[in-house]
Amino acid sequence: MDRPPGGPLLAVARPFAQGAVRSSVLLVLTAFVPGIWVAAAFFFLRLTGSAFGTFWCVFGVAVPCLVVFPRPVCGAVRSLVLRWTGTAIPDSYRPLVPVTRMATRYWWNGYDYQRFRWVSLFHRWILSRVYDPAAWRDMLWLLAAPFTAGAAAAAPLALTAAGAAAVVRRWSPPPPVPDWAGTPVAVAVALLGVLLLPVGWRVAVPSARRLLGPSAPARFAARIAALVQGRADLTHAQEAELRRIERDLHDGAQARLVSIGLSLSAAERLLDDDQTEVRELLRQTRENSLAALRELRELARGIVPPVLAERGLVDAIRALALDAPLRTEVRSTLEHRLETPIESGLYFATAELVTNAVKHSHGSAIDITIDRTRQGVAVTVADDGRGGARAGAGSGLAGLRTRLNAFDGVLRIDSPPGGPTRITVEVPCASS
Amino acid sequence: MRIVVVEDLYLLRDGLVRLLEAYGHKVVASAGDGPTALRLLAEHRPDVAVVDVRLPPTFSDEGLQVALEARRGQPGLPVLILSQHIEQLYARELLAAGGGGVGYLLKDRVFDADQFIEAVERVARGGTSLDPAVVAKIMNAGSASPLDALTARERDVIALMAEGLSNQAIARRLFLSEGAISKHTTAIFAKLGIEADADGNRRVRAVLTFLGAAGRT
Repeated sequence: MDRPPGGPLLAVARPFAQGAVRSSVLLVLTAFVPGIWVAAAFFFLRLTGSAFGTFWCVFGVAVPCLVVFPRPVCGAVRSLVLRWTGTAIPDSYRPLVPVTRMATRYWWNGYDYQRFRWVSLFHRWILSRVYDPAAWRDMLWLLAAPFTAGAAAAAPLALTAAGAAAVVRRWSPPPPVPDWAGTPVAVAVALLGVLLLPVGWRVAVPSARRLLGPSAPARFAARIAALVQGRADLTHAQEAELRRIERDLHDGAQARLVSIGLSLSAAERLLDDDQTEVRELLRQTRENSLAALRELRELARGIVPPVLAERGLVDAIRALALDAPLRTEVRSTLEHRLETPIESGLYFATAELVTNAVKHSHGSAIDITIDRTRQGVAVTVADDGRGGARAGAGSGLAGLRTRLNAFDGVLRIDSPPGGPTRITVEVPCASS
Repeated sequence: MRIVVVEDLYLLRDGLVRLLEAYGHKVVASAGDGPTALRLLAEHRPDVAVVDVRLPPTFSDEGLQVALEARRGQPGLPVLILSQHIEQLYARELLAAGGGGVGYLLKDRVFDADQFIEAVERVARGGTSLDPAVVAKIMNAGSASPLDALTARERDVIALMAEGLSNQAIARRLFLSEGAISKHTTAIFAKLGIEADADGNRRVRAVLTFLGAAGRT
């Protein structure tokens, strides 16, 4: 194609060229499987023309095609849609059960038992394509695609080609005199095809979203799985928290109170005989009661920090900022108090992020912003440190993510190596 | 000295009254909740009020609000806040609401009766008495611009000054002569840009600067 130089012209031509390429790619993808069927039908019925041919057509080509091709072809369409339009279409295939050897020495693949591992793997491969509802939706798309996305992608190409071919035929040698009559129609048809180029391939997007994305039951199933996981996480977190409190009370304050009681009874006994000893015992008792008080205070603060209970999230985070050993700014657009569990969840998440920033970022300043968002409330902790924060297995951030699950909250980490780090915690809540 | 005690727990209120009276002060009234406390403070105009932070009915920072409210009505009313927990935020709000005559102590400090009574008397005289825990937190907090100019020794001195100690007491605590301390305080006033004024209340203003330095929110 001879493109004239120059920016604006290039910009005008680009969607058309893009449309042509994308339409062709889609056409190939959607016509691929029907193409095989047509070829098979032609070969077996026209060339051999027998019942045997029909059998091969159906069971030798059509059925295997429906098992083999849907997943790669649909995967290609999903990734193309993502690349072309930025619309992510998640697949919803059931996760594969790992092939494991049972005590009977047979292999279990989630569907059936097999004597040999490779048979088990092969069965799993076939059955996962037959028993999975998402696989059936893929097949459905494969059957429907030639008539929707394929046809829409083919139309502009076909019109352009037909129009161009008509013009060429009218002007090419056999009739020596140019044929003026049909030319405008042919040119118009070609032009229409070219104009449709940027549009045709877009039909693939809604059709893919409709059939290739998760179905409503699959979405609900995923949602329920997430909720079950969240509830399990919450139960675990609560259990661990209760255990911690019990342990701290038992080893700390309770032990101190026992020792206070012991010293007091000793002092009572010594009161008449040894005044100096009594004095010493009383001094120790006072120290012990102070220590018990301190431990109880720490424990209470760990359950819910006093400022949080008294003033709410924003002031609690301000107080946190005052105590941080780095320069810390707090900005907030939050006007009302939130539900207490949400305040508490956000507070402890923020406290952890600030602690992380202080410990690991090697930065000099922290910025905390608290904002209402469309989904709920978001707290962002940003530092000017060296970045590279990740939520790897066993890390504090992974733990934080698990705890946020219980609130249906999300953790977004933006921390390129070299910094800066921005970590956002967002928790949904009804706007009050 | 005439004192009003505001504390909702009967045992603790009773103990405080006993302790204060054992040291020869007169507790003119005691209250167990915010509104009563405000009424009593306006009625008796005591020399100092000892107020618990958490009061019914909300058990949040009502005591602090009572103190701030009472000081709006009677500027300079000395108030000593007692709390189970120490928050810089509250200390700053208290001090920002005008000059001296304020204290903010952990309830634990009551255990050392001598020091507690000393703190009450200091606040009644218009001084400040911040809990060492608050002061320590401020010293540990991040960048504190006006304080950067101070030497380590001067920072020690201003921290003790914030707790409310006199030059003499600071000298004792740091094992220095009183003359050395007054030299340090003069240097601190100069570095913080606090000039001598008619009130002679430079110590309080230095402490405010000290607290303000930590206030960046």
